Amino acid sequence: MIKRINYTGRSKILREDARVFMTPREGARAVFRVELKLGDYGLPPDAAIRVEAYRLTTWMGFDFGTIAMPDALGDRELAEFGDGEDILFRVKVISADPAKRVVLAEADGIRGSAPGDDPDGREPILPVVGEDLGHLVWELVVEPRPILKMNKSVPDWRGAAKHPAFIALVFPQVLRQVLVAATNPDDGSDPEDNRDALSRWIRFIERVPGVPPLPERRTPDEATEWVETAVGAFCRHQKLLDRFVGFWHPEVNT
Amino acid sequence: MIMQRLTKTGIARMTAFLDSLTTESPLPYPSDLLESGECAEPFPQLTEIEDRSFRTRLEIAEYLYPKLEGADQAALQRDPGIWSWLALFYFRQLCEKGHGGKYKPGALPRWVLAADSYTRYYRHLIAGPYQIYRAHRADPKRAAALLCNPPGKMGDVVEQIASRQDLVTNPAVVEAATALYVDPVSGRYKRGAGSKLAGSPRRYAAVLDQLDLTYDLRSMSGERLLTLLPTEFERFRKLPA
Repeated sequence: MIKRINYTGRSKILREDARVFMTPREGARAVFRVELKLGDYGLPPDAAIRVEAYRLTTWMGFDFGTIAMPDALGDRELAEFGDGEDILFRVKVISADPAKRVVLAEADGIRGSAPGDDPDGREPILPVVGEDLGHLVWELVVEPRPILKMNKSVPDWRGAAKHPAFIALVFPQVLRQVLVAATNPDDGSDPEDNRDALSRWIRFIERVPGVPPLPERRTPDEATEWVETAVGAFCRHQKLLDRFVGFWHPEVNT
Repeated sequence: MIMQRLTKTGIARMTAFLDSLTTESPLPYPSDLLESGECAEPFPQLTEIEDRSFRTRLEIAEYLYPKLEGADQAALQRDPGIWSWLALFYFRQLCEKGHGGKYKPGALPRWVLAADSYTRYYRHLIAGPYQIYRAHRADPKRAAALLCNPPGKMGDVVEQIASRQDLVTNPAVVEAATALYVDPVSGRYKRGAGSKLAGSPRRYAAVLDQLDLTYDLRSMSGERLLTLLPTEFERFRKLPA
């Protein structure tokens, strides 16, 4: 992974401060609206707000006014996309200086939610989505944020992802992959930064009994050891062996 | 021939054919899959597709774009059946041959669209050029860096740019890539455009990654973007046409 240096100190916009609501419309193009809370980021009043929608090779940009005069009223039509499936959003705040156009703050990889969903603004730590994965049953994507993809050819793939056997066999590896990425010093994540998706995982696992705090200064070997300790503690705490045995030999009382 | 879309059964048989090509017992080209039946069903709009040859990925896209323009683009973009049928239809033209004339199909997403994966989607030999062309339909020539290769070849510029959603749809990024790596007279890649050294497409993507942290690349022209690139790219800017 190539290390990227944020020379300009660009701010990350918290997920709960940039929320996108999608409204699918039968037989018509999807529309969306945004809720932005950018008042506490210390951004210049004349900086421009832009929301970008993207999927594969399709992209649309929408101007939402400035920090001083945001124009987030009303629904915007996703004319280029047809349906609203699988669209991701990016919110950018851009300096007014036309010669430089510096990005001052950004939130990326935002999935639109239906109005009424998720009323407290929290997002699941591991969103599960259905996709065509060929003959793979599941796949983990770590960046820009961890997502578990389930093969949508699996009947009731959502249920399959919650099955005790699936959890017992798959989740330790999911956790391992995410934590390896999160402890990689080149990934740009900051454990102190509560806005980073991977940092959320560090905070999540540190709350599991038996997991020591992630050492601030660590060698690669120490990071690996910490990850394995964390995965082991997670499996113990979640009784994953018992869950699997309960599925494999239900008559055995563990 | 009237265009069809492969059914799941059709895609499974096409995949079996492609898999067999890497064994000692390759299956014959399954032309029967192209005909309507269990393996193929009609494309929603009546579209005649000719078995013609193309010199570049751009020519394929230019040929298909008017034929598919009226279709539901959202459905089309993610329909493996349509793109697989087209890839099979043009298979003998698209597929490289190795020693002894044996087909070398390469990875499956080149033939069967990986519709849900933006990191593999662009590798499809038909859908890739088509969608790049469509994304830059206002000025397709600016996307020459992504479309100038022969139909069965992608090249490193495509690999580096098209695998990133934010880059492949960005007019400035694509226009600057064309200015850097495509000879405007011959329409082919400049010498060294396939290297991994200073100023190469790989470095271009890495530098863009860094610039993207600072600048809103969407607000820029290709010309302005070229001025932000470090001196290692001078050799491509200065290479004679």
